[in-house]
Amino acid sequence: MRVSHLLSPVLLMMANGASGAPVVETNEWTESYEVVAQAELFIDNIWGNVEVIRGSSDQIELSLRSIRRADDEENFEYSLEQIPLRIGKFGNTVAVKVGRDQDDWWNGRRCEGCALRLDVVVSVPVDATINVSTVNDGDVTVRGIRGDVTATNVNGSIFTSGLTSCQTIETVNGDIEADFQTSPANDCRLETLNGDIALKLSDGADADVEVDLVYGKIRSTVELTPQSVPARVEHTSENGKRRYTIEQSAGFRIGSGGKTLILKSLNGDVLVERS
Amino acid sequence: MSDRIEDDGELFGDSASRDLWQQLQTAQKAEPSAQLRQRVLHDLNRHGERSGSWWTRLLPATSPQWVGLAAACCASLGLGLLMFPPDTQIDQRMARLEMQLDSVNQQLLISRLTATSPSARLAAVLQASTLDQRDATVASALLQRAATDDVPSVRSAAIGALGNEINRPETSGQIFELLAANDSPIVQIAIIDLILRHGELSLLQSLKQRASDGEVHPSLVGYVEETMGALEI
Repeated sequence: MRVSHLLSPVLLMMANGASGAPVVETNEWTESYEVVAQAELFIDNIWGNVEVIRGSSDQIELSLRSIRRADDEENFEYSLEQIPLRIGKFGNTVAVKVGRDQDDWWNGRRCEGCALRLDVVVSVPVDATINVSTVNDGDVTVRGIRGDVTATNVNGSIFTSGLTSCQTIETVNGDIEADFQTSPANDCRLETLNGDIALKLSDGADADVEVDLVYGKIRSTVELTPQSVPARVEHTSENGKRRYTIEQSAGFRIGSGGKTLILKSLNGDVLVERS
Repeated sequence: MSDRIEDDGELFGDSASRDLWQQLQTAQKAEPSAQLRQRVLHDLNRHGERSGSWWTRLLPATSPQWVGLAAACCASLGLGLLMFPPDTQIDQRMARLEMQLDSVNQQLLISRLTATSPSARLAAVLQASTLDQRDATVASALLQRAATDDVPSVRSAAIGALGNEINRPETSGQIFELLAANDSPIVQIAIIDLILRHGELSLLQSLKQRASDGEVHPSLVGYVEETMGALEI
């Protein structure tokens, strides 16, 4: 592993260094890890942008910028424990995690006004498997990766391009842009609650699409063949009562069809076009 | 629409008021004075002289170069159209794409009408009610909701959303089947209101007959008969 700091840590004491004043620390640095084939990148961020781009075949390089803040010096020290930033390589996986594990999130007192914003740009081998997420104040971007992509967000958008394979691309309050370079290699779910979904396929790329929109509509500049989707039967059991639900989504085929992309949005539209 | 006010004896109590209103109705409207007419015409003339028509402003009449340039542009456009006629294939493709999108969006609407979530179904029913053009598939899906939905508000909304569809022969039969099958007075009143609001004469007569045959809830028979009496059916 190689680490280099572009800027030395800057600790800013606001308001004449009084103990009750907000404390902000900014860091910028890079890290690189050697990997062999089938590398995996895992990022679990809370505040900030995550961007993944294509890099060299044997390295994962991270360019990071963090801003840690707290309401006062005492909370700042406490935030190091409550919102740690961990970066490491485990086998062939490079992982970046902000915050503690969910299991022990509620242990200890609340860290008032504490936050760790992390903006990260990572270059990975083109075939790497990507599993990245953020929660607030940031977008997730994945460009030019041929490996399997899983990307999630909560309050922000997800932009992907040059995709060949994905598992889940999911956000709550944001748009999704999924640009496939080839026909999708496997089934994939693209879901947002409050946002539009733009599905782009390169010329000659085919897919079957299943759409579940509550208030939106489908727009397209690509010829689509409407097709019926098999009904989905779900069985739930609650208080000893069994309940079966049957739902049938709308569907269409692009080109000669292929793997199924499931697009879901509550308050958004779907746009289909060629990239 | 006439703006005449009919006096029913209550609106204008005394004869003096009535006379006044009648005089106002027949009174001549004041004509504009000759001076005012003259001033308006003068203003209009002055404005016309200043602005001229759009083409005189665009091409000054004193400049023959402009006329030549315009002629050259027209000739180029004409030649271009002759050499590259509008691509009918693109028009056909656009029409096909539009049809496909209509079909997919309709399929989407029908899928929403069968969603597990009642709010999603209700939203779909409301969306269906605002569609300009509906085909038999959507009408049938709405009827299905009206007949079988577990949630009364979705059922009532679906009945209301049918609107003029009930006059289609295939739908009108089903709406009466629905009336007979639903014991709930709330659903029955929604059906009856739909027929009274949108039904053609034959449908209204059929409803009257069914009400007198006891096919509607006893508490609604009076309502049907009273409305039919008001409609003179």
